[in-house]
Amino acid sequence: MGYFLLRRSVGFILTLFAVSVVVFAVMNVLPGDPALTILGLDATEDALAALRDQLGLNDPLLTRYWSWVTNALTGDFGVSHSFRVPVAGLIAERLPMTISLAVSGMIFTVVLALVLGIAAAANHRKAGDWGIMFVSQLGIAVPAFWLAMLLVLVFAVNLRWLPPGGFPGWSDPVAAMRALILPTVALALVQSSVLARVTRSSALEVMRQDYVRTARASGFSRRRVLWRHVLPNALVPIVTIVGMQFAALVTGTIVIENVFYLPGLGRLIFQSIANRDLPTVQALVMLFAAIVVTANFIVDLLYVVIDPRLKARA
Amino acid sequence: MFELDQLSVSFGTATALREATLTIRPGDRLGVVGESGSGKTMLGLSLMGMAPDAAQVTGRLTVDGQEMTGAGEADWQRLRARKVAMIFQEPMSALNPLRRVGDTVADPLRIHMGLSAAEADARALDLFREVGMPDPEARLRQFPHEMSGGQRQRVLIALALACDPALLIADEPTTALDANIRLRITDLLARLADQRGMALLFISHDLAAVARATTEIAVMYGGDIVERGATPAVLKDPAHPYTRGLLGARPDPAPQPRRNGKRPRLPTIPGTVPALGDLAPGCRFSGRCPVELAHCATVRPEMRDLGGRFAACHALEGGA
Ligand SMILES: Nc1ncnc2c1ncn2[C@@H]1O[C@H](COP(=O)(O)OP(=O)(O)O)[C@@H](O)[C@H]1O
Ligand code: SF4
Ligand SMILES: [Mg+2]
Repeated sequence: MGYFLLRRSVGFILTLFAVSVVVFAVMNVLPGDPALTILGLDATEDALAALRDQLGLNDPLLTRYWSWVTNALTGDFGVSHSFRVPVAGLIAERLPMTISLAVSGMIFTVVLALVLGIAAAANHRKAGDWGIMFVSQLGIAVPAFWLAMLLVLVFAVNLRWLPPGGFPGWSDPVAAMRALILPTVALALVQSSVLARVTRSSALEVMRQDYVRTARASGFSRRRVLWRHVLPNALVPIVTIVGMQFAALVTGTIVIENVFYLPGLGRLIFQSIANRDLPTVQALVMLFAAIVVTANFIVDLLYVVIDPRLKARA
Repeated sequence: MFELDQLSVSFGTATALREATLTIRPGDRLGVVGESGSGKTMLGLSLMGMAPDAAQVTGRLTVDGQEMTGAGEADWQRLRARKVAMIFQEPMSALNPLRRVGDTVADPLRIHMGLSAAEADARALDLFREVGMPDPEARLRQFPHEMSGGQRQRVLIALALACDPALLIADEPTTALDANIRLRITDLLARLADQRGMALLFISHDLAAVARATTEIAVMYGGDIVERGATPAVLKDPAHPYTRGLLGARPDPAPQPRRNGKRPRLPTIPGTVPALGDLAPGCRFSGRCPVELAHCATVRPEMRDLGGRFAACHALEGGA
């Protein structure tokens, strides 16, 4: 077990390292001159050269990579070219928004998917199963962008139940949650539909197992058998998909934040790319990648928590 | 007391259990034998209200006078574990792999008997001792994959006994186990039934085990109970041609081979068991029967009293 943890942790760190190399390399071979972007087209050649020197753009690539990584580890991601403030501060301001959206998307995905997936499995080949499968098929087919517009049109513009966009901050939790409802649905409906189907098929597989018959023979209610015996045994494929979906949700915030005018990292990355703001884009891409790698690392650890047989092998 | 009156279980036109009529009284120890597919498991599952969803169940089943024919899942849930419990053939896969076996045994005690977690754990330990689990304290904390087949079967027996059922159904409890512990599990079940005054329905391929564990026997073929009586009498002097086939007691008895220490299983009867839907409407054994009469395939033989024993066969009619 200790060896397993060590091996996985080393793998995790190596992956992050590899990601940082790729992110740095891609960002620094992109065409475009940051100095020109900052100073504008009518800057003098002297001023440009001075700025390039100041930004360290003339240093060897390896030196630049090394100072980027070591500074990043201390929380220093450099200064944004377009906002002219430290990138770390820009990220810190917007991180709560994106985390709120991603977490509420994750909760929505998992809760809805487990309830629908288990309900479909419990009603296998009956109307409830078909209904849930049909709805989830629709949910998968609908593009998030289009769904977002539809939701705004129906629930914000016509019915006026919910705000069409913007985020008031968590100082007013009710208003914050109301503002999150439509973005959450738009962000997570596809993932939830996929996960509901995974849950259903995994649960159906488990329901055929002998130990489920043993649980029924023990006089337990259908509900207890489903939630206490079937679901835990169905979790391994579900957790695998959830890990992948977390990455999709985090990157999905880029589109959703722009549609709903939410002041999060997704909007920041959009703006920074438009502004060719290299340090900010680089820091954000690294951050998103780190979140994805971390999610996978956590999933690896979860397998062992879920299944004692894997712990023995680990 | 469990009373089956003409209980049938069918899948469309295929009849897995045909008009079974049987009474199981407190303390009865009844063996059920017959080839694969003869409906033994279906009989056991019917007594648990656990026939497959696809099955149509007809006839009557009462438990202590309570009508259970057509009873809903909720009514059966009240009887399972507390009135009737069942252990299945395959102990390797019958335990939830994610739960410690002690918790698996304690669960029904907490849920059905209202015991606290500590009381249920203590009771689970008692049960482990009662079923002869080696090192019971440590075993409670183990997961199924850490145990041998015999130990898992003991866990399943402890689980079945937890709520003190009036009837224990053991469906081929030793078939999947190593030869050297079959006898011990068989004797354990017989002893537990005896000590607790619990009825036992012992389904087995193993005639020697049935002989040890039961006082009465029912022989099944093609969904029918074809012969019933006291175990020693039926095994010593089988009346029904099928039972005789099972025992290898037909005119040209081949000696039972003792294969590497395993006690002999059911000897094979010439021919194979036809698919359920292809069985004759009359005697199910017609087509394979060595003494078949002209009307056997079309007319179903009645169960006849042969002086404390019962068998259903046209060849036994008109003076046995
Ligand atoms: N779900 C089902 N659908 C159709 N036939 C079934 C089903 N379950 C069992 N059967 C049939 O019922 C018959 C009796 O099976 P079973 O009671 O398991 O026999 P045994 O335990 O004596 O080997 C078998 O022929 C089997 O194919
Ligand atoms: S009824 Fe006929 S076919 Fe059936 S066992 Fe008796 S003799 Fe054989
Ligand atoms: Mg069987």
